[in-house]
Amino acid sequence: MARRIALAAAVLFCVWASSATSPRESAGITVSPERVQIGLFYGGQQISVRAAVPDGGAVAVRILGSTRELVLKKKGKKGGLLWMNVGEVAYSDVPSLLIVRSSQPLQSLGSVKALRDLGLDYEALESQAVAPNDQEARCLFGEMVKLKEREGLFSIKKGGIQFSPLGQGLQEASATFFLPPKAPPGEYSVDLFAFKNGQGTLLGSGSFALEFSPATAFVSDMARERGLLYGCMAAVIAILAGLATGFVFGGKGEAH
Amino acid sequence: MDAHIYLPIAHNSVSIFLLLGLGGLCGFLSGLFGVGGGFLLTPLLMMVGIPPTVAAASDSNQIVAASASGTYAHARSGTVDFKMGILLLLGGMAGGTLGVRLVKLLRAVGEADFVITMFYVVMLGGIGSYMLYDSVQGLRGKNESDGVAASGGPSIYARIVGALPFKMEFERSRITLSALVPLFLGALVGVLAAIMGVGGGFIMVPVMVYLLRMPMHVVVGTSLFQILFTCLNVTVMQSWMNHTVDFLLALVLLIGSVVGAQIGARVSRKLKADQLKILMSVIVLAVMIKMLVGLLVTPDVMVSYGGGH
Repeated sequence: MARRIALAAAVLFCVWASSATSPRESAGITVSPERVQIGLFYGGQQISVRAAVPDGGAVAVRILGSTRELVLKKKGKKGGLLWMNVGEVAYSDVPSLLIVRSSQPLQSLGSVKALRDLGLDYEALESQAVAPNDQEARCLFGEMVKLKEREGLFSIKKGGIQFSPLGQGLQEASATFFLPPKAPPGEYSVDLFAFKNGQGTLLGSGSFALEFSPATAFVSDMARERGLLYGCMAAVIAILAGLATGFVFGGKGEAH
Repeated sequence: MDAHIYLPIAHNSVSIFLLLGLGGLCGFLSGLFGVGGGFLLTPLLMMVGIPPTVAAASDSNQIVAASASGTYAHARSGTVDFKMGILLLLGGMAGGTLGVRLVKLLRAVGEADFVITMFYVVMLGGIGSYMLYDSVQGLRGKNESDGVAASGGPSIYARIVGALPFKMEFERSRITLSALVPLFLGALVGVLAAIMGVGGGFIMVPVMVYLLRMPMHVVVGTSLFQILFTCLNVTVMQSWMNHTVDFLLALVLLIGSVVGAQIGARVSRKLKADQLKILMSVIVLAVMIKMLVGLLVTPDVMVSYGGGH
Protein backbone atom coordinates (compact mmCIF):
# COMPACT_ATOMS: atom_id res chain seq x y z
CA MET A 1 0.00 0.00 0.00
CA ALA A 2 2.77 2.37 0.97
CA ARG A 3 4.53 1.52 -2.28
CA ARG A 4 1.38 2.35 -4.23
CA ILE A 5 1.06 5.68 -2.42
CA ALA A 6 4.69 6.43 -3.18
CA LEU A 7 4.20 5.50 -6.81
CA ALA A 8 1.10 7.69 -7.07
CA ALA A 9 2.96 10.53 -5.41
CA ALA A 10 5.82 10.11 -7.88
CA VAL A 11 3.39 10.19 -10.83
CA LEU A 12 1.68 13.28 -9.42
CA PHE A 13 5.06 14.94 -8.93
CA CYS A 14 6.00 14.19 -12.52
CA VAL A 15 2.72 15.64 -13.76
CA TRP A 16 3.26 18.74 -11.60
CA ALA A 17 6.85 19.01 -12.68
CA SER A 18 5.90 18.84 -16.32
CA SER A 19 3.20 21.45 -15.79
CA ALA A 20 5.74 23.54 -13.93
CA THR A 21 7.72 23.73 -17.16
CA SER A 22 4.63 24.93 -18.98
CA PRO A 23 5.63 28.61 -18.68
CA ARG A 24 8.11 27.55 -21.36
CA GLU A 25 5.08 26.40 -23.28
CA SER A 26 3.58 29.86 -22.87
CA ALA A 27 6.76 31.21 -24.43
CA GLY A 28 6.23 28.71 -27.29
CA ILE A 29 4.74 29.56 -30.62
CA THR A 30 1.26 29.25 -31.98
CA VAL A 31 1.22 29.04 -35.76
CA SER A 32 -2.04 29.36 -37.60
CA PRO A 33 -3.07 27.60 -39.76
CA GLU A 34 -0.95 24.52 -39.12
CA ARG A 35 -1.87 23.01 -42.48
CA VAL A 36 -2.29 24.87 -45.75
CA GLN A 37 -3.73 23.19 -48.81
CA ILE A 38 -2.83 24.23 -52.34
CA GLY A 39 -6.23 24.00 -53.97
CA LEU A 40 -7.28 24.95 -57.48
CA PHE A 41 -7.89 28.56 -56.44
CA TYR A 42 -4.84 28.93 -54.20
CA GLY A 43 -3.13 32.29 -54.45
CA GLY A 44 -0.90 32.27 -51.38
CA GLN A 45 -1.87 32.22 -47.71
CA GLN A 46 -1.63 34.50 -44.70
CA ILE A 47 0.15 32.77 -41.83
CA SER A 48 -0.05 34.21 -38.34
CA VAL A 49 2.42 33.54 -35.54
CA ARG A 50 1.75 34.34 -31.87
CA ALA A 51 3.92 33.93 -28.83
CA ALA A 52 4.22 35.19 -25.26
CA VAL A 53 7.58 36.93 -24.84
CA PRO A 54 9.23 38.85 -22.01
CA ASP A 55 8.34 42.51 -21.65
CA GLY A 56 10.66 45.09 -23.14
CA GLY A 57 12.73 42.88 -25.40
CA ALA A 58 12.96 42.81 -29.18
CA VAL A 59 11.99 39.77 -31.18
CA ALA A 60 12.52 38.26 -34.61
CA VAL A 61 10.50 35.55 -36.36
CA ARG A 62 12.03 33.30 -39.01
CA ILE A 63 10.11 31.02 -41.38
CA LEU A 64 12.27 28.46 -43.09
CA GLY A 65 11.49 25.91 -45.82
CA SER A 66 13.33 22.67 -46.42
CA THR A 67 16.79 22.99 -47.92
CA ARG A 68 18.11 21.50 -51.12
CA GLU A 69 20.76 22.01 -53.74
CA LEU A 70 19.95 24.81 -56.17
CA VAL A 71 21.49 24.92 -59.64
CA LEU A 72 20.92 28.15 -61.57
CA LYS A 73 21.77 29.32 -65.05
CA LYS A 74 24.02 32.33 -65.14
CA LYS A 75 23.50 35.04 -67.73
CA GLY A 76 26.18 36.37 -69.97
CA LYS A 77 26.59 38.02 -73.34
CA LYS A 78 27.12 35.85 -76.38
CA GLY A 79 28.49 37.38 -79.52
CA GLY A 80 28.85 40.62 -77.60
CA LEU A 81 25.18 41.38 -78.21
CA LEU A 82 22.59 38.94 -76.88
CA TRP A 83 22.07 38.08 -73.24
CA MET A 84 21.62 34.37 -72.70
CA ASN A 85 22.48 31.51 -70.36
CA VAL A 86 26.22 30.85 -70.44
CA GLY A 87 26.72 28.25 -67.72
CA GLU A 88 25.60 27.04 -64.32
CA VAL A 89 26.20 28.05 -60.75
CA ALA A 90 25.40 25.73 -57.80
CA TYR A 91 24.42 26.40 -54.20
CA SER A 92 23.93 23.81 -51.47
CA ASP A 93 21.39 23.79 -48.62
CA VAL A 94 19.29 26.64 -49.99
CA PRO A 95 15.92 26.89 -48.22
CA SER A 96 12.82 26.90 -50.39
CA LEU A 97 11.56 29.84 -48.30
CA LEU A 98 13.32 32.29 -45.99
CA ILE A 99 11.26 35.01 -44.36
CA VAL A 100 12.50 36.99 -41.37
CA ARG A 101 10.49 39.68 -39.61
CA SER A 102 11.85 41.66 -36.67
CA SER A 103 10.47 44.25 -34.27
CA GLN A 104 13.57 46.42 -34.79
CA PRO A 105 16.11 46.66 -37.62
CA LEU A 106 18.16 43.47 -37.55
CA GLN A 107 21.48 45.32 -37.23
CA SER A 108 20.29 46.93 -34.00
CA LEU A 109 19.18 43.62 -32.48
CA GLY A 110 22.57 42.01 -32.19
CA SER A 111 26.08 41.77 -33.53
CA VAL A 112 26.79 40.42 -37.00
CA LYS A 113 28.17 37.27 -35.41
CA ALA A 114 25.06 36.83 -33.22
CA LEU A 115 22.76 37.19 -36.21
CA ARG A 116 24.88 34.84 -38.28
CA ASP A 117 24.96 32.23 -35.52
CA LEU A 118 21.18 32.34 -35.31
CA GLY A 119 20.82 32.18 -39.11
CA LEU A 120 18.89 35.42 -39.34
CA ASP A 121 20.63 37.20 -42.20
CA TYR A 122 21.79 36.49 -45.75
CA GLU A 123 25.43 36.28 -44.60
CA ALA A 124 24.47 33.20 -42.59
CA LEU A 125 22.86 31.71 -45.67
CA GLU A 126 25.87 32.56 -47.82
CA SER A 127 28.27 30.79 -45.52
CA GLN A 128 26.03 27.73 -45.58
CA ALA A 129 25.19 27.71 -49.30
CA VAL A 130 28.45 28.66 -51.00
CA ALA A 131 31.32 26.19 -51.20
CA PRO A 132 34.51 27.74 -49.73
CA ASN A 133 36.44 27.89 -53.00
CA ASP A 134 33.58 28.71 -55.33
CA GLN A 135 34.27 32.38 -56.11
CA GLU A 136 31.72 32.49 -58.91
CA ALA A 137 28.91 31.28 -56.67
CA ARG A 138 29.99 33.84 -54.07
CA CYS A 139 29.92 36.65 -56.65
CA LEU A 140 26.46 35.67 -57.85
CA PHE A 141 25.02 34.98 -54.38
CA GLY A 142 23.36 38.41 -54.29
CA GLU A 143 21.74 37.68 -57.67
CA MET A 144 20.37 34.39 -56.37
CA VAL A 145 18.88 36.26 -53.39
CA LYS A 146 17.42 38.88 -55.76
CA LEU A 147 15.81 36.12 -57.86
CA LYS A 148 14.24 34.56 -54.78
CA GLU A 149 13.13 37.94 -53.42
CA ARG A 150 11.33 38.69 -56.69
CA GLU A 151 9.35 35.49 -56.31
CA GLY A 152 8.53 36.46 -52.73
CA LEU A 153 10.38 33.39 -51.45
CA PHE A 154 13.10 35.33 -49.61
CA SER A 155 12.40 38.39 -47.50
CA ILE A 156 14.26 39.84 -44.54
CA LYS A 157 12.95 43.09 -43.13
CA LYS A 158 11.84 44.97 -40.06
CA GLY A 159 8.18 45.22 -39.25
CA GLY A 160 5.05 43.14 -39.19
CA ILE A 161 5.31 42.38 -35.48
CA GLN A 162 2.82 43.78 -32.95
CA PHE A 163 2.92 43.59 -29.17
CA SER A 164 0.06 43.54 -26.68
CA PRO A 165 0.46 43.31 -22.89
CA LEU A 166 -0.27 40.02 -21.10
CA GLY A 167 0.79 40.97 -17.57
CA GLN A 168 3.20 39.19 -15.22
CA GLY A 169 6.19 40.48 -17.17
CA LEU A 170 4.97 39.03 -20.46
CA GLN A 171 3.61 40.45 -23.69
CA GLU A 172 2.14 38.79 -26.73
CA ALA A 173 4.10 39.18 -29.94
CA SER A 174 2.08 38.55 -33.08
CA ALA A 175 3.27 38.52 -36.66
CA THR A 176 1.44 37.90 -39.91
CA PHE A 177 3.26 37.08 -43.13
CA PHE A 178 2.19 36.16 -46.60
CA LEU A 179 3.16 32.72 -47.86
CA PRO A 180 3.72 33.30 -51.60
CA PRO A 181 1.98 31.02 -54.12
CA LYS A 182 5.34 29.88 -55.46
CA ALA A 183 6.32 28.34 -52.11
CA PRO A 184 6.59 24.60 -52.80
CA PRO A 185 4.71 21.96 -50.80
CA GLY A 186 6.57 20.79 -47.68
CA GLU A 187 7.12 21.33 -43.97
CA TYR A 188 8.03 24.86 -42.84
CA SER A 189 9.61 25.68 -39.50
CA VAL A 190 8.82 28.85 -37.58
CA ASP A 191 11.35 30.05 -34.99
CA LEU A 192 10.99 32.91 -32.55
CA PHE A 193 14.07 34.68 -31.21
CA ALA A 194 14.20 37.16 -28.33
CA PHE A 195 16.97 39.76 -28.07
CA LYS A 196 18.27 41.62 -25.09
CA ASN A 197 21.54 43.52 -24.80
CA GLY A 198 22.67 42.32 -28.20
CA GLN A 199 22.20 38.67 -27.32
CA GLY A 200 19.64 36.51 -29.06
CA THR A 201 18.05 33.31 -27.82
CA LEU A 202 15.64 30.90 -29.40
CA LEU A 203 12.40 31.23 -27.44
CA GLY A 204 10.41 28.58 -29.23
CA SER A 205 9.67 26.82 -32.46
CA GLY A 206 6.62 25.77 -34.39
CA SER A 207 5.80 24.59 -37.85
CA PHE A 208 3.17 24.38 -40.54
CA ALA A 209 2.67 22.10 -43.52
CA LEU A 210 1.95 23.16 -47.08
CA GLU A 211 0.45 20.41 -49.21
CA PHE A 212 -1.42 19.84 -52.44
CA SER A 213 -5.17 19.34 -52.17
CA PRO A 214 -6.36 16.00 -53.57
CA ALA A 215 -7.37 17.69 -56.85
CA THR A 216 -4.05 19.49 -57.48
CA ALA A 217 -2.08 16.46 -56.26
CA PHE A 218 -3.98 14.31 -58.75
CA VAL A 219 -3.17 16.62 -61.67
CA SER A 220 0.46 17.12 -60.64
CA ASP A 221 1.15 13.43 -59.97
CA MET A 222 -0.55 12.34 -63.16
CA ALA A 223 1.37 14.84 -65.29
CA ARG A 224 4.66 13.72 -63.76
CA GLU A 225 4.17 9.98 -63.40
CA ARG A 226 1.74 9.14 -66.21
CA GLY A 227 2.64 11.72 -68.82
CA LEU A 228 1.34 9.73 -71.79
CA LEU A 229 -2.08 9.12 -70.20
CA TYR A 230 -2.22 12.74 -69.01
CA GLY A 231 -1.41 14.01 -72.51
CA CYS A 232 -4.06 11.77 -74.12
CA MET A 233 -6.60 12.89 -71.52
CA ALA A 234 -5.77 16.57 -72.05
CA ALA A 235 -6.07 16.11 -75.82
CA VAL A 236 -9.41 14.27 -75.64
CA ILE A 237 -10.91 16.84 -73.24
CA ALA A 238 -9.66 19.68 -75.47
CA ILE A 239 -11.29 18.07 -78.55
CA LEU A 240 -14.58 17.56 -76.72
CA ALA A 241 -14.47 21.13 -75.36
CA GLY A 242 -13.71 22.47 -78.85
CA LEU A 243 -16.51 20.48 -80.49
CA ALA A 244 -18.94 21.50 -77.74
CA THR A 245 -18.10 25.21 -78.07
CA GLY A 246 -18.24 24.95 -81.87
CA PHE A 247 -21.66 23.34 -81.57
CA VAL A 248 -22.92 25.97 -79.09
CA PHE A 249 -21.64 29.00 -80.99
CA GLY A 250 -21.91 27.49 -84.45
CA GLY A 251 -18.58 29.12 -85.32
CA LYS A 252 -16.24 28.24 -88.14
CA GLY A 253 -12.96 27.93 -86.33
CA GLU A 254 -10.61 30.37 -84.73
CA ALA A 255 -7.05 30.64 -83.51
CA HIS A 256 -4.33 28.81 -85.29
CA MET B 1 -14.21 32.44 -54.97
CA ASP B 2 -10.61 33.50 -55.08
CA ALA B 3 -9.56 35.37 -58.20
CA HIS B 4 -6.46 33.20 -58.60
CA ILE B 5 -6.04 29.81 -60.14
CA TYR B 6 -3.15 27.55 -59.17
CA LEU B 7 -1.43 25.95 -62.14
CA PRO B 8 0.12 22.73 -60.85
CA ILE B 9 2.48 22.23 -63.79
CA ALA B 10 3.56 25.87 -64.12
CA HIS B 11 3.91 25.92 -60.30
CA ASN B 12 2.44 29.36 -60.12
CA SER B 13 -0.76 31.08 -59.24
CA VAL B 14 -2.13 33.55 -61.76
CA SER B 15 -5.21 35.73 -61.73
CA ILE B 16 -7.99 33.78 -63.40
CA PHE B 17 -9.33 37.01 -64.91
CA LEU B 18 -5.91 37.81 -66.37
CA LEU B 19 -5.80 34.40 -68.07
CA LEU B 20 -9.38 34.74 -69.30
CA GLY B 21 -8.44 38.21 -70.57
CA LEU B 22 -5.36 36.92 -72.40
CA GLY B 23 -7.33 34.06 -73.94
CA GLY B 24 -10.09 36.51 -74.79
CA LEU B 25 -7.67 38.98 -76.37
CA CYS B 26 -6.07 36.33 -78.56
CA GLY B 27 -9.48 34.87 -79.43
CA PHE B 28 -10.70 38.38 -80.25
CA LEU B 29 -7.74 38.96 -82.57
CA SER B 30 -8.19 35.58 -84.23
CA GLY B 31 -11.88 36.23 -84.71
CA LEU B 32 -11.03 39.66 -86.09
CA PHE B 33 -8.36 38.56 -88.55
CA GLY B 34 -9.16 34.92 -89.34
CA VAL B 35 -5.64 33.78 -88.49
CA GLY B 36 -3.39 34.45 -85.54
CA GLY B 37 -3.95 34.42 -81.81
CA GLY B 38 -2.05 31.33 -80.78
CA PHE B 39 1.29 32.76 -81.81
CA LEU B 40 0.64 35.81 -79.63
CA LEU B 41 -0.57 33.85 -76.63
CA THR B 42 2.67 32.07 -75.76
CA PRO B 43 4.76 35.28 -75.44
CA LEU B 44 1.94 36.92 -73.48
CA LEU B 45 1.86 33.97 -71.09
CA MET B 46 5.62 34.24 -70.68
CA MET B 47 5.19 37.89 -69.75
CA VAL B 48 2.80 37.01 -66.89
CA GLY B 49 5.23 34.53 -65.35
CA ILE B 50 4.43 31.20 -66.99
CA PRO B 51 7.68 29.33 -67.78
CA PRO B 52 8.27 29.42 -71.56
CA THR B 53 8.19 25.67 -72.13
CA VAL B 54 4.95 25.33 -70.12
CA ALA B 55 3.43 28.31 -71.96
CA ALA B 56 4.31 26.83 -75.35
CA ALA B 57 3.11 23.29 -74.55
CA SER B 58 -0.14 24.42 -72.89
CA ASP B 59 -0.86 26.74 -75.79
CA SER B 60 -0.69 23.71 -78.12
CA ASN B 61 -3.30 22.00 -75.98
CA GLN B 62 -5.54 25.05 -76.16
CA ILE B 63 -5.14 25.14 -79.96
CA VAL B 64 -6.40 21.52 -80.12
CA ALA B 65 -9.72 22.68 -78.73
CA ALA B 66 -9.85 25.84 -80.84
CA SER B 67 -9.10 24.06 -84.12
CA ALA B 68 -11.38 21.08 -83.37
CA SER B 69 -14.53 23.19 -83.65
CA GLY B 70 -13.26 24.87 -86.83
CA THR B 71 -12.29 21.60 -88.52
CA TYR B 72 -15.68 20.12 -87.70
CA ALA B 73 -17.50 23.08 -89.27
CA HIS B 74 -15.30 23.14 -92.40
CA ALA B 75 -15.55 19.36 -92.85
CA ARG B 76 -19.34 19.69 -92.89
CA SER B 77 -19.04 22.44 -95.54
CA GLY B 78 -16.79 20.25 -97.70
CA THR B 79 -13.89 22.73 -97.60
CA VAL B 80 -11.22 20.37 -96.26
CA ASP B 81 -8.77 18.73 -98.71
CA PHE B 82 -8.26 15.57 -96.67
CA LYS B 83 -5.63 14.08 -99.01
CA MET B 84 -3.50 17.21 -98.80
CA GLY B 85 -4.29 17.53 -95.10
CA ILE B 86 -3.16 13.97 -94.35
CA LEU B 87 0.16 14.50 -96.17
CA LEU B 88 0.71 17.77 -94.32
CA LEU B 89 -0.28 15.94 -91.18
CA LEU B 90 2.22 13.10 -91.67
CA GLY B 91 4.93 15.68 -92.20
CA GLY B 92 3.62 17.62 -89.21
CA MET B 93 3.72 14.51 -86.97
CA ALA B 94 7.34 13.86 -87.88
CA GLY B 95 8.20 17.54 -87.48
CA GLY B 96 6.31 17.80 -84.18
CA THR B 97 8.09 14.75 -82.77
CA LEU B 98 11.43 16.14 -83.90
CA GLY B 99 10.53 19.52 -82.39
CA VAL B 100 9.65 18.00 -79.01
CA ARG B 101 12.96 16.13 -78.95
CA LEU B 102 14.68 19.36 -79.88
CA VAL B 103 12.99 21.16 -76.97
CA LYS B 104 14.08 18.34 -74.63
CA LEU B 105 17.65 18.62 -75.87
CA LEU B 106 17.60 22.40 -75.54
CA ARG B 107 16.21 22.14 -72.02
CA ALA B 108 19.03 19.77 -71.11
CA VAL B 109 21.62 22.29 -72.22
CA GLY B 110 19.62 25.18 -70.74
CA GLU B 111 18.96 26.97 -74.02
CA ALA B 112 15.23 26.24 -74.44
CA ASP B 113 14.06 29.65 -73.26
CA PHE B 114 16.55 31.46 -75.45
CA VAL B 115 15.70 29.45 -78.57
CA ILE B 116 11.93 29.84 -78.06
CA THR B 117 12.39 33.57 -77.55
CA MET B 118 14.59 33.85 -80.66
CA PHE B 119 12.09 31.90 -82.75
CA TYR B 120 9.41 34.29 -81.64
CA VAL B 121 11.47 37.37 -82.34
CA VAL B 122 12.27 36.18 -85.87
CA MET B 123 8.78 34.88 -86.70
CA LEU B 124 6.87 37.80 -85.16
CA GLY B 125 9.28 40.28 -86.73
CA GLY B 126 8.92 38.71 -90.17
CA ILE B 127 5.16 38.29 -90.08
CA GLY B 128 4.51 41.67 -88.43
CA SER B 129 6.67 43.49 -90.97
CA TYR B 130 5.07 41.68 -93.89
CA MET B 131 1.55 42.39 -92.63
CA LEU B 132 2.37 46.07 -92.07
CA TYR B 133 3.86 46.38 -95.55
CA ASP B 134 0.99 44.49 -97.16
CA SER B 135 -1.72 46.51 -95.39
CA VAL B 136 -0.04 49.87 -96.10
CA GLN B 137 0.19 48.85 -99.75
CA GLY B 138 -3.48 47.87 -99.60
CA LEU B 139 -4.47 51.28 -98.21
CA ARG B 140 -2.49 52.96 -100.99
CA GLY B 141 -4.39 50.88 -103.51
CA LYS B 142 -1.28 49.19 -104.84
CA ASN B 143 -2.20 45.71 -103.72
CA GLU B 144 -3.26 44.00 -106.87
CA SER B 145 -2.96 40.44 -105.74
CA ASP B 146 -5.87 38.65 -104.12
CA GLY B 147 -3.95 36.18 -102.06
CA VAL B 148 -2.37 34.37 -105.03
CA ALA B 149 1.15 35.10 -106.05
CA ALA B 150 1.60 36.77 -109.38
CA SER B 151 3.23 34.37 -111.79
CA GLY B 152 6.05 35.39 -114.06
CA GLY B 153 8.15 32.72 -115.77
CA PRO B 154 8.74 29.42 -113.98
CA SER B 155 10.70 30.23 -110.82
CA ILE B 156 13.48 28.10 -109.35
CA TYR B 157 10.98 26.88 -106.74
CA ALA B 158 8.46 25.91 -109.47
CA ARG B 159 11.14 24.07 -111.44
CA ILE B 160 12.33 22.14 -108.35
CA VAL B 161 8.76 21.22 -107.35
CA GLY B 162 7.94 20.24 -110.91
CA ALA B 163 10.94 17.89 -111.06
CA LEU B 164 10.07 16.04 -107.83
CA PRO B 165 8.79 12.43 -108.05
CA PHE B 166 5.63 10.88 -106.49
CA LYS B 167 3.18 13.25 -108.18
CA MET B 168 -0.41 13.13 -106.92
CA GLU B 169 -3.65 14.75 -107.96
CA PHE B 170 -5.52 16.69 -105.30
CA GLU B 171 -9.09 16.89 -106.61
CA ARG B 172 -10.48 19.16 -103.92
CA SER B 173 -7.68 21.71 -104.44
CA ARG B 174 -7.58 21.11 -108.20
CA ILE B 175 -3.78 20.78 -108.32
CA THR B 176 -1.20 18.12 -109.18
CA LEU B 177 1.88 18.07 -107.00
CA SER B 178 4.64 15.82 -105.66
CA ALA B 179 3.63 14.28 -102.33
CA LEU B 180 7.07 15.24 -101.00
CA VAL B 181 6.18 18.96 -101.02
CA PRO B 182 3.32 18.86 -98.48
CA LEU B 183 5.28 16.27 -96.45
CA PHE B 184 8.27 18.61 -96.20
CA LEU B 185 6.25 21.75 -95.55
CA GLY B 186 4.13 19.93 -92.95
CA ALA B 187 7.30 18.81 -91.17
CA LEU B 188 8.59 22.36 -91.13
CA VAL B 189 5.40 23.67 -89.56
CA GLY B 190 5.41 20.73 -87.09
CA VAL B 191 8.87 21.66 -85.82
CA LEU B 192 7.76 25.28 -85.38
CA ALA B 193 4.56 24.19 -83.61
CA ALA B 194 6.53 22.15 -81.07
CA ILE B 195 9.14 24.80 -80.39
CA MET B 196 6.84 27.80 -80.39
CA GLY B 197 3.63 26.23 -79.13
CA VAL B 198 1.66 27.42 -82.13
CA GLY B 199 -0.61 25.61 -84.54
CA GLY B 200 1.37 27.08 -87.39
CA GLY B 201 -1.66 28.53 -89.18
CA PHE B 202 -0.03 31.89 -89.68
CA ILE B 203 2.74 30.07 -91.56
CA MET B 204 0.64 27.30 -93.06
CA VAL B 205 -1.94 29.57 -94.69
CA PRO B 206 0.61 31.58 -96.75
CA VAL B 207 2.46 28.32 -97.51
CA MET B 208 -0.73 26.76 -98.92
CA VAL B 209 -1.65 29.89 -100.87
CA TYR B 210 1.77 30.83 -102.26
CA LEU B 211 3.70 27.53 -102.36
CA LEU B 212 1.02 24.85 -102.79
CA ARG B 213 -1.22 27.15 -104.90
CA MET B 214 -4.39 25.91 -103.22
CA PRO B 215 -7.67 27.83 -103.62
CA MET B 216 -8.41 30.08 -100.66
CA HIS B 217 -11.74 28.48 -99.72
CA VAL B 218 -10.02 25.12 -99.12
CA VAL B 219 -6.96 26.59 -97.41
CA VAL B 220 -8.53 27.55 -94.06
CA GLY B 221 -10.34 24.24 -93.50
CA THR B 222 -7.34 22.14 -94.55
CA SER B 223 -5.03 24.27 -92.43
CA LEU B 224 -7.26 23.78 -89.38
CA PHE B 225 -7.42 20.01 -90.02
CA GLN B 226 -3.64 19.77 -90.18
CA ILE B 227 -3.16 22.06 -87.17
CA LEU B 228 -5.61 20.04 -85.07
CA PHE B 229 -3.67 16.82 -85.48
CA THR B 230 -0.24 18.44 -85.32
CA CYS B 231 -1.13 20.05 -82.01
CA LEU B 232 -2.67 16.82 -80.75
CA ASN B 233 0.67 15.14 -81.38
CA VAL B 234 2.58 18.00 -79.75
CA THR B 235 0.29 17.98 -76.71
CA VAL B 236 0.72 14.25 -76.14
CA MET B 237 4.47 14.30 -76.81
CA GLN B 238 5.09 17.33 -74.59
CA SER B 239 3.07 15.70 -71.79
CA TRP B 240 4.86 12.42 -72.16
CA MET B 241 8.44 13.55 -72.62
CA ASN B 242 8.69 17.00 -71.02
CA HIS B 243 5.70 17.07 -68.60
CA THR B 244 5.07 20.67 -69.58
CA VAL B 245 1.37 20.68 -70.51
CA ASP B 246 -0.69 22.52 -67.91
CA PHE B 247 -4.19 21.41 -68.70
CA LEU B 248 -5.84 23.85 -66.28
CA LEU B 249 -4.04 26.73 -67.98
CA ALA B 250 -5.18 25.52 -71.41
CA LEU B 251 -8.78 25.16 -70.22
CA VAL B 252 -9.01 28.70 -68.78
CA LEU B 253 -7.41 30.13 -71.93
CA LEU B 254 -9.88 28.21 -74.07
CA ILE B 255 -12.89 29.69 -72.29
CA GLY B 256 -11.55 33.22 -72.82
CA SER B 257 -10.53 32.45 -76.39
CA VAL B 258 -13.92 31.09 -77.46
CA VAL B 259 -15.79 34.14 -76.15
CA GLY B 260 -13.19 36.55 -77.57
CA ALA B 261 -13.34 34.89 -81.00
CA GLN B 262 -17.10 35.35 -81.21
CA ILE B 263 -16.82 39.06 -80.33
CA GLY B 264 -13.89 39.50 -82.74
CA ALA B 265 -15.82 37.89 -85.60
CA ARG B 266 -18.74 40.29 -85.07
CA VAL B 267 -16.48 43.38 -84.82
CA SER B 268 -14.52 42.37 -87.95
CA ARG B 269 -17.63 42.71 -90.10
CA LYS B 270 -17.83 46.42 -89.24
CA LEU B 271 -14.20 47.43 -89.88
CA LYS B 272 -11.96 47.84 -92.93
CA ALA B 273 -9.61 44.92 -93.56
CA ASP B 274 -6.45 46.97 -94.12
CA GLN B 275 -7.00 49.07 -91.01
CA LEU B 276 -7.39 45.86 -89.00
CA LYS B 277 -4.23 44.39 -90.52
CA ILE B 278 -2.26 47.53 -89.59
CA LEU B 279 -3.54 47.27 -86.02
CA MET B 280 -2.66 43.57 -85.91
CA SER B 281 0.81 44.12 -87.33
CA VAL B 282 1.48 46.85 -84.75
CA ILE B 283 0.48 44.48 -81.94
CA VAL B 284 2.64 41.70 -83.37
CA LEU B 285 5.63 44.03 -83.77
CA ALA B 286 5.15 45.44 -80.25
CA VAL B 287 5.33 41.93 -78.80
CA MET B 288 8.40 41.21 -80.91
CA ILE B 289 10.14 44.42 -79.76
CA LYS B 290 9.35 43.63 -76.11
CA MET B 291 11.01 40.22 -76.50
CA LEU B 292 13.95 41.62 -78.44
CA VAL B 293 14.58 44.22 -75.73
CA GLY B 294 14.71 41.33 -73.26
CA LEU B 295 17.59 39.85 -75.23
CA LEU B 296 19.48 43.11 -75.73
CA VAL B 297 19.12 44.93 -72.42
CA THR B 298 21.21 43.85 -69.43
CA PRO B 299 19.02 41.55 -67.28
CA ASP B 300 17.92 42.79 -63.87
CA VAL B 301 18.94 39.46 -62.36
CA MET B 302 22.02 37.68 -63.66
CA VAL B 303 20.83 34.17 -62.80
CA SER B 304 17.72 32.22 -63.75
CA TYR B 305 16.17 28.84 -63.29
CA GLY B 306 17.12 26.26 -65.91
CA GLY B 307 14.88 24.27 -68.22
CA GLY B 308 12.08 26.77 -68.34
CA HIS B 309 11.06 26.22 -64.73
